Amino acid sequence: MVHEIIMPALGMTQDTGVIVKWCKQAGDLIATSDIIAEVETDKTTMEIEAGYDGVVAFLKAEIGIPVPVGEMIALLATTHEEAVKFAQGPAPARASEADVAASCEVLASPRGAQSELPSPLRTPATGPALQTELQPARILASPKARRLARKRGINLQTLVAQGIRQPFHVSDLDAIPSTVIEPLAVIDELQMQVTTEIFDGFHARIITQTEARPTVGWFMAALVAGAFRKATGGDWQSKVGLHLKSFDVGGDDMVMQNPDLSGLRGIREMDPETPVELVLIDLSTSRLTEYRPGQRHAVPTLIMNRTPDRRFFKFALYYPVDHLSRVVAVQLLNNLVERVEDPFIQIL
Amino acid sequence: MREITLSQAVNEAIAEEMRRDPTIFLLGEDVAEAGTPFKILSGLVEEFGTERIIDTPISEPGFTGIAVGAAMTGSRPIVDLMFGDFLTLVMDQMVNQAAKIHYMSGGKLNVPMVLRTNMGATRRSAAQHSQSLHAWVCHVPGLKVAMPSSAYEAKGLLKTAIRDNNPVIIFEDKLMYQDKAEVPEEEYLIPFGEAKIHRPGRDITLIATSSMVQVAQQAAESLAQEGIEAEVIDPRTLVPLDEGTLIASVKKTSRAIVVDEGHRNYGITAELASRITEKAFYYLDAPVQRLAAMDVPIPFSPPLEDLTVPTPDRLVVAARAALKGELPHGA
Repeated sequence: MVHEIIMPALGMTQDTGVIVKWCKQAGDLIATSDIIAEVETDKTTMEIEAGYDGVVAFLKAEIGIPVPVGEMIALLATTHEEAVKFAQGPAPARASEADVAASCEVLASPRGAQSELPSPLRTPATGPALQTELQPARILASPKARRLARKRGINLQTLVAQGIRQPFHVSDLDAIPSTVIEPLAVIDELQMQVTTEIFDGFHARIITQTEARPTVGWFMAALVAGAFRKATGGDWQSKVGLHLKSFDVGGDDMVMQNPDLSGLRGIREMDPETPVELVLIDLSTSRLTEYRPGQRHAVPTLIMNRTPDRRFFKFALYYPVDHLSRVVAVQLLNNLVERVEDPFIQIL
Repeated sequence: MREITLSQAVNEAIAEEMRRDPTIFLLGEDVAEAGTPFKILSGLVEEFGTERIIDTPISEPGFTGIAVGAAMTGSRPIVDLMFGDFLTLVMDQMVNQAAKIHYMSGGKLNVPMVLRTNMGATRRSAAQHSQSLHAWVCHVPGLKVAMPSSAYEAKGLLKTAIRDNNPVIIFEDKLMYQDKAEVPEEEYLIPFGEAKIHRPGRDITLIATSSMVQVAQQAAESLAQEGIEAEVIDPRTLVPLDEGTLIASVKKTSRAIVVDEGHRNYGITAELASRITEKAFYYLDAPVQRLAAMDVPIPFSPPLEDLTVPTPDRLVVAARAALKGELPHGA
């Protein structure tokens, strides 16, 4: 008994899908809920479950080549013997491939050469498909292991490279010697400067008008979150977690979520485990002139300070390049200085 | 300290409270002359008379309804429901009346009643007399639910239940009536909403209710021989629930198994596991596991019946898998 796995319709208007990754190979044992492949459509990338228990006889679809919805992408057999038989013998797949080729031939130019067919079957992968191919497969780890890895600056890819069985647990992290821990990513650095005058005027006015008495850091956090949201696509639904720190004793140190949307009075301290997209370090309340986060900093970190004459804010953004693209990083700083120069932008 | 059985502890609690408060009376089937099939109430009718220990006809909806009305008008009735399986018969009285009256009267009426009943399989009582249906009533706002795990808990929780101004349902495991535990001579109460840590441990949290606490303790002893230190926690009351103690423990151990004798589907174990994943997600190093009664009618056949309930062995296997990172992970 064999089962065909077909290209599923993952969207209403989808005609084809692209296999971006095979999770199983011919000859592999597979269970119903196992993921056999990752498929990309114009909207999303999804994992495809086998749907049957069995052995993979062969994989038909090629990575990166669009396959019409409903077309077979792989064949599952019940036993290894059966798998071998169908992998070698005249599999139904070959027949259907021939059929498709034949029907394409009718539609194609009279020359009929397969290599010149305008069929979508032979369209090389472009754009998004290639990008997805470059992304590493999802790594499985317990929530605690993932959290600790981030904290300790351990790239889980290191564990993958060592062949440690997934999902990773805390014991796997504890087992790796510290010498193996690599920096997470190349850290890039961008700097910008902007006048403080309008911002300070605004902040002074807010203080007289609300009981909340937001610090400069809170006000800046709201602007930074707004700038970050805009730079990363402007989605109002997505959550922007931000950790505001100052190096002053008793100064700001709290995790907030969506400070750009909540209003300054609505800013609440969140659980320290709340995922954070950005760290904002406020040096302006101290006499520190510079701070560089360590090489293992996984989260983009924005340092704010004032020039000695206090007329300018200086911003330095440190970010791992695999975490934030340079385009987004520059956009973030651009948006931020715009907002510092005119906080009304934030309100609008 | 003296040791008494769970059944003696229940008897003592009722007698002490009835001596203290003349508005308390008890009613149910076979409670006076027979002292219930489990002989829990023996001797009470001799002391308090048939005015306060009332034998009723076989009419659970009727006498439970009487209790709700009596509670609304100044008495503190204790209803004896012979088997937990008969909850089906008194659901309207408990769910639509007792649980709602305080709220719907704008706080003018209270229903200070206790429904004592039982649960638990492996007594060879077949499918209609072996169920553990406590999840049903836990689902209803307005009802408190207590689950004693020993004679000590049974006495302290029952006395608190009798003094509570709201309807309380107590589930006693019918297999534990003859189990002895240390119970002080002097009076004590166990407050609702306070879990008990029966055994501290650092590697995995075993949350167990009622007789499953014994199962968890036996499992913890086996695990200790392998160097695994399990923490055993008994919520004691499911409503109100001491969530804080459970979450704090899981944050410490990073792993949890919830053990309860109700059916697994949509049950107590699901609720507790869900709360853990909501509030301790980033501390978890393994999926939260559930051990519960199999989702089948409880078989009469002893070998089959024994298969349907959580056992120390099954718990040990589950705990070991969590520690070794061998649990399925859905991919």
